[in-house]
Amino acid sequence: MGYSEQLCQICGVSFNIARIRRPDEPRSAAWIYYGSDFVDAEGTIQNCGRKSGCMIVDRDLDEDVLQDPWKRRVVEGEDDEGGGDGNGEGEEFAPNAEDDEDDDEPPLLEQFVELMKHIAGPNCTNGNGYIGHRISLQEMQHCRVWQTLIRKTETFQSAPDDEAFERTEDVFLSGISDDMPETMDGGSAETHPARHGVRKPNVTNGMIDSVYTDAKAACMPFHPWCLEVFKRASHAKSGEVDIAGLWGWYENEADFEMFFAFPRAGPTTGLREQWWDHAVGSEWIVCNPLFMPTLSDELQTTISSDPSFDVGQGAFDIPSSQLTPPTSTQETDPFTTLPAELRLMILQDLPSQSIASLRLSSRAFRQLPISLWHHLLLKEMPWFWEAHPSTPLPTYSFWTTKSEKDLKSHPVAPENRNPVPVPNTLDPTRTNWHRLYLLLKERENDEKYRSLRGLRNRERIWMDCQEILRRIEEYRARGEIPVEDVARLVRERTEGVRRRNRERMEARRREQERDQGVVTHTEAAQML
Amino acid sequence: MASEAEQTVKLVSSDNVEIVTERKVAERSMLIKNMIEDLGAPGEEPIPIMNVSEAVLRKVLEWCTHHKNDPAPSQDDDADSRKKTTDIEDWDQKFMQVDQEMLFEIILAANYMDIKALLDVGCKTVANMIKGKSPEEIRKTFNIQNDFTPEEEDQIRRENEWAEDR
Repeated sequence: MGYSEQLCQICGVSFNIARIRRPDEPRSAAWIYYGSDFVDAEGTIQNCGRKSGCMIVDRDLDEDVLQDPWKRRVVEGEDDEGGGDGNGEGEEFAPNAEDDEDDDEPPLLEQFVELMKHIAGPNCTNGNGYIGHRISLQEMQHCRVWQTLIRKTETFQSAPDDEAFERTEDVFLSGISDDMPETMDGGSAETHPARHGVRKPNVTNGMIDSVYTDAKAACMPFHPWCLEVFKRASHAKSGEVDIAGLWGWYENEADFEMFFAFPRAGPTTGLREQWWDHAVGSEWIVCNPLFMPTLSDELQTTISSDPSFDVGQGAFDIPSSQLTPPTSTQETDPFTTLPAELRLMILQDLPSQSIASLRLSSRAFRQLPISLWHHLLLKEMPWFWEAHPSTPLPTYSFWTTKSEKDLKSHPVAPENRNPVPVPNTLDPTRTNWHRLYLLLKERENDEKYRSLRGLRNRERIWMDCQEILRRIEEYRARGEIPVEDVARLVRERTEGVRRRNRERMEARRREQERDQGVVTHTEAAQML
Repeated sequence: MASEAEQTVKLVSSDNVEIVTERKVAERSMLIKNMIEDLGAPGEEPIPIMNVSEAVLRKVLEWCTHHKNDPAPSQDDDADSRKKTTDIEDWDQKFMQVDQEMLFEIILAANYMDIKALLDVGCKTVANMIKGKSPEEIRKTFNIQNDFTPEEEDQIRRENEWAEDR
């Protein structure tokens, strides 16, 4: 079997995320799908084209000498110049788009062939890694980190760093890892620390492959951040964190066919190729959805420092003359007869589009209180838990805060593996909810609101969790969670897949025979 | 003394009509419930419902009669439970099929008499009449005259950008 990637069971994204650095970033900001090295220039820089601004560096000689592969010229790297002014540098390196438009073989590359690293230009389109110009290191922090859920055995003993569910449920958490090995070949999936004695969990998205004959030992891989999203989605739905349900869903659907057919909220299905397609514009799906480097600054713009601020205040700046309707209108508009709090109750039953229409039809809704947008936000963006007045899950798991590398270089004793408070929770009385709502609504606008891409990713994961929760409910209703005999389920499923495959092949064979038959018949007719 | 279930109370509408009803029915209204508790001797002293006319009061009591055995509303702020019950049950839907003036009167009465569940049903009924309609259709439905100047309308449209689909 060749290379294949294990994905996050919850969100469907690969852990084998690569990055192509900008010229001004350190070497450690670039790595290839297996976590070290870099993306080769050869075979990749041609596709970006001369307008990309992509550069190459010699990987054995001098890492700081950037070279424009489209010109036979060597340019000094930024470190040597000591300037650090990225913009000026870009202009200097920018290949002239006018000349030699049709010359698509970079001449410099041919001279060195295998020795060159790909350094991303502003318009790099390389799908072998996300490019530094489009996503910062901090934004994608921990996107390669994975963890698993493992079924307990009889010998399980609780540990001081167990989360609440690990004490009560049939599953526990492994340590974490920064490198997901290619799977079908059975690479060594080492995690750190070796929690509850397990160093190499038997990671798999599907249990039917012959590699995983022991269904009971199969472990579910996920981003630690995805589990946090799941916990909150589950709590919002049922008032509890249903890890038993999540595990039951995994066992029921840990089958490659079912896993790949899972309806995903984002573009992840289209990006799943043998190697993850790091398509330009899809950077947001690897942005950390819990810790966002610029969220705090963004939110700060919505916090009022005015001591007289009150969420009961109007959201719009309107001259008072426009607020009082003429007496003639007052007589016919029934909404003017209602006190403000009753109008607000009606508004709270309406989607935002209807509220907008209502504002255009009755002057009674010309001005609206800021608090209405808090209500809309909670209703329309339940995944933005920073807005919840009292959050039932006030902390994130310890495992969301570290990488395997962090833990190896700075070990944390089990009793010190503490959860961390959810950052940026908002004060309901000081937040201009109208302004915040506008800000969040813009999150889809990738270029303009890059700083909120982590939230966009969170929404995507949340949506996938909704589907998982819906399925958990269905399995429970049918009595299929908990799974009584996993091994039997896997066997039946494997046989089912084999049967379906046989049927498909049989159908294809019949179709081919039929097609041939038609041709023969037509040919026969022509010959007559 | 009659048991609580059999007790009756006398209500007086704003247009001075006396209506006798079961205590249990009347106590769907927190306003009346509190008054009875304050008065101590239900049934004898008529309770004035000052803001509600006879026609509306009878209608409200009809709702209370149907719902007299509903579980008592929870004491805590029920913002959450409001959110979760989006549908109106069939009987309530039929009950709310009244002319618009009556609908708004019922809402005002439910608010005044502090009957949360009825107020909820009333607001949801109005909301359902608004959902999916254009501004022009909403005006037609509620008989609202358009008194916005074109400039004002432009202004509102600009202010409404938050509601547009992304």
